[in-house]
Amino acid sequence: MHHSPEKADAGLVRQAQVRVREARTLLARPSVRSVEETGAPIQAALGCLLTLRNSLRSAGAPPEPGELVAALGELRREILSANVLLEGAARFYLGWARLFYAAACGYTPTGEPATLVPAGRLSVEL
Amino acid sequence: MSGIISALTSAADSLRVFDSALSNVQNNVDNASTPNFANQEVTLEAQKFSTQEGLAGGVGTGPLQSTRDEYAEQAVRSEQRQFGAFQQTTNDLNSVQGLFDVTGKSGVPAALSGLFQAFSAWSVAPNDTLPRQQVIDAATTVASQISENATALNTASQSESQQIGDAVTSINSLTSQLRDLNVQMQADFAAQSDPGVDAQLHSTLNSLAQYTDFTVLREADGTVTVLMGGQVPLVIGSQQHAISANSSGTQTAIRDDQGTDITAQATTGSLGAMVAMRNTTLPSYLSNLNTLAEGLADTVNSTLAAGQDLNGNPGAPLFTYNAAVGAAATLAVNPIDPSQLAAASTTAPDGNANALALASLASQTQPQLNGLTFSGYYGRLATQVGQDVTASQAGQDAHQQLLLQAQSLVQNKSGVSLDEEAAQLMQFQRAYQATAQMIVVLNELTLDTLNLLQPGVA
Repeated sequence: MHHSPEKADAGLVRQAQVRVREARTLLARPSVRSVEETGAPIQAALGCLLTLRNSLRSAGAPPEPGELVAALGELRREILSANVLLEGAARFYLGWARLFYAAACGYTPTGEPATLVPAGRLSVEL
Repeated sequence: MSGIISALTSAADSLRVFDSALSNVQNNVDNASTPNFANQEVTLEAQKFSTQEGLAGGVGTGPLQSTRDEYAEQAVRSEQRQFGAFQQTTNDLNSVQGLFDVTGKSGVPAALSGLFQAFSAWSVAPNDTLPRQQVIDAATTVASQISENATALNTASQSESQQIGDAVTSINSLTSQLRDLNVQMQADFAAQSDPGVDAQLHSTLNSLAQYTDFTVLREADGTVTVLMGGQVPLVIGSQQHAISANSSGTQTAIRDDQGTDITAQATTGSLGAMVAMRNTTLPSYLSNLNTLAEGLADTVNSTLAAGQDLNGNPGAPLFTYNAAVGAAATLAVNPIDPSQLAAASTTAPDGNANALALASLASQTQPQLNGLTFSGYYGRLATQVGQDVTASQAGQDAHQQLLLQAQSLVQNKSGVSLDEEAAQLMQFQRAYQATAQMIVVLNELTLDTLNLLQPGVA
């Protein structure tokens, strides 16, 4: 059973969409860990798109790219939505960092909250 | 013997502590669905141990600690305000979007098209009564469509005034509740650490955030000071400062309890959105409609006046309007006899030059309409309304996600030590930078791929 190239290409976009949606779900509850875990699905989505782009460059654009264009448009909206959530999380942590550093270490001579450098740790197992 | 007694006492104390911890867990579970209830934690404190003083050590309960992070609460309120503003704008715009047809098949565009077709048909038989009457009928349709649009915008503006009044009433009711909580905390010291009062306080603040922007200051006696826009007092201790709305003029003014205009402080939340809609957005749409009505009436009337009617007189004006009241709302057709329409030019009394000039207005650009045709100008207005709706809907969707995200952040407990918190913040920064870069690359790659399929579109 052979799939047409258009269907295979649309499949890649859908896979990328699923991965970006995973990232969005993680970013909706943005703990430090979940933001770190966002890297994997985004990288997977990048892989799908790179494969698609290489395929399009070698085989050329399909004669009727409507479905593919629509899927890519949808993917782009998902990416922008993930970006909104990532920036939202960044705003929260940046604001928190300013409050936290100012409370913990005061201010620098230029009025910026001083940065707290976490102490090094050494664990010894006996 | 005393050793056994102190050991038993210590064991009994420990049991009491764990009983207290269990009660606390039960209380947290009972309040799982209480709005804005923050989980309480029992802190355990080591007791002094001294054989000489006969102190058996063991464990005791410390004070209850709220895990609520005021910073996260503030982030939720900020998102609530923005979401409230976009939601309100979307609802308001959706109600007026239906007035503006972008397909050209109904409403004002279809009526304009009908009028220019009537002029064209008249130019074929300039002296016949029927096409003359058809011009008057088509002009009546244009006037009534434009006038209906203006009336609907005015009605939307009145409805907005009503909603602003309702929002102000809700704000005053919420600030009255906050005042009551303040009074309770001033009267009873224990209320300051009562999780029920705390939940009520935060729930009320969150409800208030849907309406307007404000700053909350927590005073030493546990009460809250609420300042609208960071400046106008709404609640200070046991004092409530009620606000009011005055929509009697063309612009709505929000006033404080001293009568001072504080409209500039109502910039966000649903109140800010409604004030912007009534004071800026709707007047701007109406102003465009007035420009169109005036432009159309003046151009058609002056073209007719330059020609000659069937009785050899200069053409009578077809349209009338009252600019002081509003050209669009008052646009109407002059009650004239069809013979008073001037189809001919003064130089060729039996010709159709004037009717042809009127028909050609369909495709002529007008300087008073920013160089657009009549239909083009209306089309631009309709498109503007559509774009405003789309932008507002996109903002609503984005802030709905951000609100849910902020609500999830409230649930996160803050770190247990300075070191761990600082390490977490650095870890977040690294994770953020890496993810942000990948999202940028992913977005660019998607655009590249779209460009491969549709060069120049993406």
